[in-house]
Amino acid sequence: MRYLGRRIVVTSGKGGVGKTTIVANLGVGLAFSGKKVVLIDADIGLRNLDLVLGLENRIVYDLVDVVEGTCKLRQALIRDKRFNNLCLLPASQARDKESITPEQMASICEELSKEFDYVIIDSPAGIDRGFKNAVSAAEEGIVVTTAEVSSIRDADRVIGLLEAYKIQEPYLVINRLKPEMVNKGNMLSVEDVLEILGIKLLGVVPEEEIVVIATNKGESILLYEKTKSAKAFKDMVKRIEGEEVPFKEIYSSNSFFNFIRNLFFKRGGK
Amino acid sequence: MKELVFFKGTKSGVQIILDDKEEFEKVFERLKEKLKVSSIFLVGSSLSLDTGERKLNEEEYKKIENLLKEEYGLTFLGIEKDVEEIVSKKEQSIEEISLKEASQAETILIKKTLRSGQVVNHSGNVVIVGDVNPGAEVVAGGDVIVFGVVRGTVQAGAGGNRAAKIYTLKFQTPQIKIAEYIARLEERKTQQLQPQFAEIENNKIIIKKIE
Repeated sequence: MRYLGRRIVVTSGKGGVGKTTIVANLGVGLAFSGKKVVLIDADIGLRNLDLVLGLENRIVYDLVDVVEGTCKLRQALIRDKRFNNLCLLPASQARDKESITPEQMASICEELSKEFDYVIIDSPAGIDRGFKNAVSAAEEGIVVTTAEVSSIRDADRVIGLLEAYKIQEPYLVINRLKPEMVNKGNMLSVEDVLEILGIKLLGVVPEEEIVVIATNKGESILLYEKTKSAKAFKDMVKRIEGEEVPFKEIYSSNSFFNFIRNLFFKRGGK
Repeated sequence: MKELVFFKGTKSGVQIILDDKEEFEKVFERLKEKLKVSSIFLVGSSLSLDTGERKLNEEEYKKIENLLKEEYGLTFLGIEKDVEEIVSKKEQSIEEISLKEASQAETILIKKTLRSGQVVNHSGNVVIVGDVNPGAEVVAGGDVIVFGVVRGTVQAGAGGNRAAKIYTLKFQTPQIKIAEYIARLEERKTQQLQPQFAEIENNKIIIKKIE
C-alpha cells in the first residue's frame, strides 16, 4: 500500500479562539522538523491563513479555482518563504462556502496526502457547510478552545460532531491561557477544561503579546525561541509526531502561596 | 357576559367547572381560550371536571380529554364524581407500569460522554458510562443511570412514571426532571464524586446518597 500523509482538521466551533494561528505555527513547526506540510484554508470568503503566514501577496489561484478546474492543484499551492517543504492552499476570498462540496474537499486532501506528510485543514468557525467541508476531508482532529465557558461549550459540541464524522478522540489545544488569572481563580484551569471535555491534551498556549505581534507581522512564533508560546508549539509538534513530552506547568506559577493554596483546595474532584 | 369556565383549586388539584346551561360548543371554545392563556399554571396539577347538571356524551368527553391530555399534556383525572375511583386506579397503574418497565422495557447502554447538542430519547431505561455534558439531553421513560457527572439536562420517567429515578456520581446541573416534577439544584462546585440518586418523595424530588 502506498504511504499517505496524515490529514488533520483544526476546528473549534466558536470563532476567534485562535485556530488559524495554531494551524500556521504547527505547520511551521512540523516543516521545521523536516516534514512535508500543506496547510489548507477552508474558510472560503473569510480567508486569514495567508495573512498569518505572510503569504498574502503571492496568491494567484485558490481552492475554488482548483475545484472548478481553472488551474491544477499544484499551481494553486504557495510555497512558504522560509521553508521549502511548507505549502499553503489558500481559500477564495470572493466566494462562499457553498462553492465546494465535502466530496470535492475530500478528494483534494486525499490527492495532497499522497505527496505531503501532513495535510492540515484550517476549519472555519461554526458547524455549517464550511465545517462539513473541512471535517469530511480529515481523519484526525485538533479542537482549539480557550478557557472560557462559551468556547468550551462549543468545543464540546464540535467533539460530538467529529464523532459523527468518524474522527474519534481528537486532540485538544487550550489557547490564550492566563496563568495569573487561573491562580486567582478567575479563569478555568487546564484541569477544569479537561474534566469537562475529557479528551487528550495536545498543548497549552499561554496568552502572550508576542503571539499578537508575530501574527500581525506574518511571522511564526517559533522564531521567538525564548518565549513560552514558542516552547508550547514545539512541544505540540513533538506530541503530534508521537513523542511523549511531559507538560511543563506553564499554567500555574510556582509561588509559595499557590503551593499552599493547591494543597488545600485542589484535593477535591478527580 | 357570563363566564362559562372556571378553574378552582381544590385539595386534590384543580377543578374545571363548566357552565351547564350554555351550548357545549361555546363552553368548549371558552375552555380552549382559557387554556391557551393559563395552561402553564396547570402543569403538574391533577385536573378534574365539574359539569354540573350537564351530562357529557362520550364524544364531548373525549374532546375535552383530548384537549387537556394530548394538546396541553396535562394530568386529567376525569369528571368529579369519578375522581376518587380514578385516583386509586391511577396509583395502581403507576406501580404496574414501573414494575413492567423494570422488567420489560428495554435498557440502552451508551458507552461514551454525551456532548453538547447530543440527545438521547428512549422510552425505557438509559445507562450512560461517561458524563452528560452541558447542552446534552437525556429523556428516558424509565430510570437514568449516569456513571459519571450530570452537567446537562436529564429527565427520568418522561411518560409520567413517578417511580423513576436518576442515579449518578455527581449532579452538577441546574435542574433535573422526574415525571412532571422539576428540581432546581444549587451549584455545588466542590462536591466530590459520590454515588447518589434522585427520586420523588412527598411530591418533591429528593437526592439521596448511596452509602
